[in-house]
Amino acid sequence: MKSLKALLVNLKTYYLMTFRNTFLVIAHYLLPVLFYLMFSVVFVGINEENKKTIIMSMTAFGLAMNSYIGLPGSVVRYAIGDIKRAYIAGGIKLWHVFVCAAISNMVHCFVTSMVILFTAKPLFGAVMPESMGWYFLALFISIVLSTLMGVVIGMFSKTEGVATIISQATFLPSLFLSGTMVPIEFLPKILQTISDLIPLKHTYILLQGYDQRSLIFSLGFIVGLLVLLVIRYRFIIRRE
Amino acid sequence: MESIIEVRNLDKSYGKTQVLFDLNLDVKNGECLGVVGGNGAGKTTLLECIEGIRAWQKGDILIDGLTIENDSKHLRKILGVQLQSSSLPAEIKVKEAVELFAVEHNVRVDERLYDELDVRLLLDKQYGKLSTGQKRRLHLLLAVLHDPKILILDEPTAGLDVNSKHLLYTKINELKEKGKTILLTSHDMYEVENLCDRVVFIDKGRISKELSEESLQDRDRHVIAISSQKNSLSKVDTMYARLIEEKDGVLFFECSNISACLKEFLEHLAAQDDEITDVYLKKKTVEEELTKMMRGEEQ
Repeated sequence: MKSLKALLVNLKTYYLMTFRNTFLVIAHYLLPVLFYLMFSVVFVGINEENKKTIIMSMTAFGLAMNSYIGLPGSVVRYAIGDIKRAYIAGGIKLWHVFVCAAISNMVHCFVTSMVILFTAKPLFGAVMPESMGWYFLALFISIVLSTLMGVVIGMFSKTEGVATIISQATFLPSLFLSGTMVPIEFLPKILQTISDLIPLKHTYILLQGYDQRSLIFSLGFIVGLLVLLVIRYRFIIRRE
Repeated sequence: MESIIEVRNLDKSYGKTQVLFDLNLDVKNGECLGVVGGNGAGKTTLLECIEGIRAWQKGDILIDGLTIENDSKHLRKILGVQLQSSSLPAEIKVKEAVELFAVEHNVRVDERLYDELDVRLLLDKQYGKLSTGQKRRLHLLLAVLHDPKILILDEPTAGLDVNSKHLLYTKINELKEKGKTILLTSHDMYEVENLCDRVVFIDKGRISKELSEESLQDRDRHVIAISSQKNSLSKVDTMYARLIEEKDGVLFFECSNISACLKEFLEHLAAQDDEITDVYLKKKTVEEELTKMMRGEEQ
């Protein structure tokens, strides 16, 4: 009970702090929505068929933007340096902070996804998902997966600068190899094979409808990332 | 008085560089112990080992009979720590930081602390917008809000203005009166002399000297540098002073009863028909001891 209360206070604090950081507001809300509006105009303008996938592709893009760009920088500052030391010395459990960062990011992802889901039809004539039940389940899995990716990038980076580089190095290839920007079929065979290792590809596929292979890949990624996080966490909290 | 912190045969290295060598230290329950030494002497490393932030290669540290390896949860409750280099997220408000630390310790904040440490007007300010002094005061508040039994302060007044220093001194003295054990490092010898019951000097990772409570209380000791026309004081048989040096016609005496000593000198000078040409009086300080030690004069 005491630990839950501490976790909730931590979560409230963490969430509120996001809105006092201009970079995070831009990365979590402004850029995903701005790019969604811009890309949707372009994609629908190029091909009317894109109306069928615009919600899914832009949602996948928004999740990647939130989790790969916005999240790692705010995680890394708790995993290294003076804030980490102050928290440990003050008796604050670091796992509370990482869980709060993850939950907070999941809320940002959900809000952005809802903005896309409910404005894409009136603005661009987008086709709504066939099964809302499956869509929300797939969205939940996707949000968890992308958030874990962001936390892993943050926790494995030694500085905020390194986190930024790894974020970019993950974000850009993810966009091009996931099928959200360029259809997978247009890619060379070798890249099509490699793209299976890109979590965002499976997110995009799952958001379009049930796909057993992508579901297994996504759940596999989630388990793998969780194992990595536990290992890394033990390393972070060890005495220096 | 029994020891509440016991450091035994502590060795600590960073890579191939050893910074603490077979170090032993006892901190008695309820005392304020100052740890002083030059830059890089190992003060902060020692404190951080005790705080459980750093691991060490050899030796043991017992705090209230417990070890950080096995009892870190309990030790976090009885330890209050102000690190030398500490930070919080720039966007966190002071009141949020206080709430966060308080809820993690499962305590209600004693609001008197806001006034005692002059933090009340800062509650709605973000950490990133605080001055150095304001941050230090906040960190001290965070260190004491759970009413810890032991307080570890690493250069608590570094970079502070006079007002902030006095606020902190008042708070530290109040904590001493409450019987808290305080371990602090500082480069400010005035601070160490006036706050601490006992002082240990660290030099190159070893405890090289200790000033006991008695010797610190004996801080009435003065050094008198005096010169006279006939230099008659060089032969004075004095009860209250000890000649420690004679240099270029100036005599340096150490004395513990300054009034009696000066009276004796004046009587001697009058009897010898001698006159003072110059006199300089100063207190023996911890700073002098430290300076001597750093110059290797003690050896």
